[in-house]
Amino acid sequence: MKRKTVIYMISSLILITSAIVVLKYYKPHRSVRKEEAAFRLSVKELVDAFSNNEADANLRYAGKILEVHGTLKEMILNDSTLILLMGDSTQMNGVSCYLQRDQKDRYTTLKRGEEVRVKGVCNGMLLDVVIDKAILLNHE
Amino acid sequence: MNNMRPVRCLLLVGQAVAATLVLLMMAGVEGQAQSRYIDRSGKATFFSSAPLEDITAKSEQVVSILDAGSGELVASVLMRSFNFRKALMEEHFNETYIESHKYPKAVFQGKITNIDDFDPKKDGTYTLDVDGKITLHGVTQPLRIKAEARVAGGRIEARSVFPLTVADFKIEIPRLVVNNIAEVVEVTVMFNYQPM
Repeated sequence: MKRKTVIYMISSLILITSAIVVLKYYKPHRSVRKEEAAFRLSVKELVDAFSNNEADANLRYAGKILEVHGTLKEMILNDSTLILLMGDSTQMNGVSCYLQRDQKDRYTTLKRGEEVRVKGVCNGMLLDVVIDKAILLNHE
Repeated sequence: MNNMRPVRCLLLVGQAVAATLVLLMMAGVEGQAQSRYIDRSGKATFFSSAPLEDITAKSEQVVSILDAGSGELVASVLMRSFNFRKALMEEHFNETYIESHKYPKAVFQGKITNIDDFDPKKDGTYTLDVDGKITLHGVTQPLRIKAEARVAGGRIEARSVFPLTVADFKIEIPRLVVNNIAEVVEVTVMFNYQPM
């Protein structure tokens, strides 16, 4: 009886550990839709943060889900990639927002100069601050 | 009175030369502006083939600027823009191997050495020799590559495949996964440049 309990315990332990390992190995990609944004800020606030201290801004924002709002400066459709350039047209740097593919229908109704709100993962800064895997939030 | 003439003549010639120079300079500036091309959604993939598994990652957010006049070329990519099939791999790539929080981007800066053979106004295919340096994971290494370029209707498509040795960039691979990750990865980059 005692021996049986031990066997049960050991085998269930092995089962649980392997289940954890498998689940971890196959854990799903994060979902911008479901996850809550870590920060909500304007294009200007975000660009200023990176222009003032890129290393600090990277630690604070990169890899996080952000909600960003600002003026739509330009729309670029390159192959199947949907890009929104957001920010002040007088400023050199803004936000480059790479939309998820299923945003195409809403993307085509957007107009230059309108205010947009997007939610996506911040990848860091190249020419612009990059928001990736983004979805449009406030567009009617 | 008569000997004023040559002076006047000289003055006129001088003015003409000056005007021509200004025109030439303007043409030069304009030429320069027209010779610059950009791609904000360039593609980069890397492929690692090891005994235990093959791993591919892809970014569609490489930003590159090409000056078809001087042959100068810059391409940069944020490491976090690389997507893997498995979320865990992506996490390890960013946190353990590439250390994106410390070294967020990779940058290539180079020059096309046979730019004289390249004419962005003439449709056709060209083989370009690019000589430059790449910075990745905080380490800069020289890089000499060949690229295939195709010019069609004012656009330039370029593609290059080259190997990178992981150890050259001080990227440490734990012994535990040494059979999962290749020592040399194959990198493919693709650009679709448009006039800037």
